[in-house]
Amino acid sequence: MNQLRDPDPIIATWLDDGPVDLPADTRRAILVSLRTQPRARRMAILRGSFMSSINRLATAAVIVLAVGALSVFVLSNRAGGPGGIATPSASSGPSPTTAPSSSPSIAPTQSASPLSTAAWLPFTSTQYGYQIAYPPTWTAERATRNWVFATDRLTVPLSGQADHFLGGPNGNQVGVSGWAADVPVGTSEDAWLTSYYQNDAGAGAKCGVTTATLLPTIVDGHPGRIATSTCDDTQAFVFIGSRVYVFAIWRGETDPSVQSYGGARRLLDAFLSTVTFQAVSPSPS
Amino acid sequence: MRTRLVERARDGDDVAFTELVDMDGDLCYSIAYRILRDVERAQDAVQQAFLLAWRELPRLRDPERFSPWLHRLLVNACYEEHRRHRRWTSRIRALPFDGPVSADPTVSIDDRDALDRAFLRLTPQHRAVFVLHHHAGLPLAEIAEIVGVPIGTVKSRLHHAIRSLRAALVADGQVDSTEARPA
Repeated sequence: MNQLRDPDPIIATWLDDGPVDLPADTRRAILVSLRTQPRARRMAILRGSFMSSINRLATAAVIVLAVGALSVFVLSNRAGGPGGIATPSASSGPSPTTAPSSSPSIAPTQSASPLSTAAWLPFTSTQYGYQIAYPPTWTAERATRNWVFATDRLTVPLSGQADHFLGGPNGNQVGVSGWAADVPVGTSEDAWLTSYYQNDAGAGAKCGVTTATLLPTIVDGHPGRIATSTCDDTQAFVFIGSRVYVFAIWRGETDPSVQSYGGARRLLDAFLSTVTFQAVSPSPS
Repeated sequence: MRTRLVERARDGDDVAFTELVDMDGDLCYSIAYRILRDVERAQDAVQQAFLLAWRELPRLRDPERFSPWLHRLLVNACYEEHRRHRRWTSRIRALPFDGPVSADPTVSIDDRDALDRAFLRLTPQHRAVFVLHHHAGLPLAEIAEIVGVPIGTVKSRLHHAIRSLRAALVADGQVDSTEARPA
C-alpha cells in the first residue's frame, strides 16, 4: 500500500542521485585534446592579449622611437636639419599623409589617409542585413544566430553570433566583427551604450568607455559613434530605427597585427567605409 | 586566485586551464549528467564545453565571469548533445535512466521511473533551468544569463518543470495529490 508523501523531497532526492565526479578518463581526454586544439591562431585573432601591457608599451615605444628617428633622418636630409619639419611644402595641394592632425598622439589614424578598399571582397550579412567588404586575403565567418544582449555582451561574440572577418599580415592575426541587435522600445542610445559597457559587477564602466568618451563617425550616411576601449578593442555603433549595428575590431591601436594597416582605428574605418545597411531606407545624403 | 588562473589560461597557460578543469569539472559533469540523464553524453558535453572554453577563452572580457560563461558553454553543449541524439533515441524505446540506482528508500523504483519518464519529456531548455536551480543552486538571475533568456522565462520554465515532475508522481499514485501543489 502506498503512503501519501510530499512530492518535493522525492524529486529532490531523485535529482541528487547520480554521479557527481568527473570521470578520470573524461578529464584526461580534455587535457590531451587541449594540445591538439588550434587555439593559438584562434586566440590571437580576436584578442590582442598575448602581449603583456609592459610588452605592448615597450613595443609601442620602440615603434614610436623608430618612426621618430626615421622621420628626423628623412626630413634632415630633405630640409637640411630638424627645422625642416616645420617648413611648409611648396606643393599646392594638401597631401593626405601630411594633413594636420587634431589629436596627434591619441588618434593618429583619424588624420591618416583612408585605406583603399577597391580590391576588397563584398560580403552580405544575411543574419543582420548589411553589406560590407573585407580584404581579399582575409576570411569571413558568417553569423548563424542572433546576438543576444543579455548574454552575448559579456564576451567578444563567439563564432556564429556575429559575422567575423579574420586576417592579418604574417600570422599576426586580427579580427573584425559585425552584428546587430534590437534596441528595446524607450531605450535611448546613451542608455543602451551605457548598459552595453556597464561593468559586469553592475556599476561603473567596462574597459574605460563611457558615453563621454565616444567619438562621432558616419557609416553609410548614418551618424554613429566609436568607442576605443582599454580592453584592446574599438567598436562602432550605428543606431537606425530600433536597431543598433555594431562593428568591432579586436585589437589595440598599437598592436603589431594592425601596424601595416596604420592602426586599428584606420582599419576599422576602412571596413566602415564599405558598409551599406540593407533593411533601412536609403541613407540620408 | 581563480581569476588569476583564468587570466593565465586565457593567455595560453594550459597548466592553469588544467587547474580550472579540476576545480569546475565535477560540477559541470554533475550538471550535464542531470540535464541529459546519460553518462556518456554528459561526458561528451563536458568535454565539448571545456574544449570550447579553451578555444574561446581569449574572448572572455571579464575573467571574473568565467563560471557563468563556462556554464553557458556547458548548457549549449548539452543542447547540442540532445539534438545529436534526438533522432536516434526517438527511434528506439525510451531508455531507462542511465545511472546508479538510488539507495535512498524515499525514492522507490516506481518513483524513479515516473520521474525519469516525466523528465525526459521535458525539453532540454526546461531541464537545464531545473537542474541549474535545484541541483547547482544557482540564482535565477544567473541562470537567465547562462541560458540567455529573460528571468521571467526562467521562472516559467522552472514552474513548468516542477509541475510536470510533481504531476508525474501524482499520476503514478505515489504521493498525496493535495500536496502536489501548483507553484
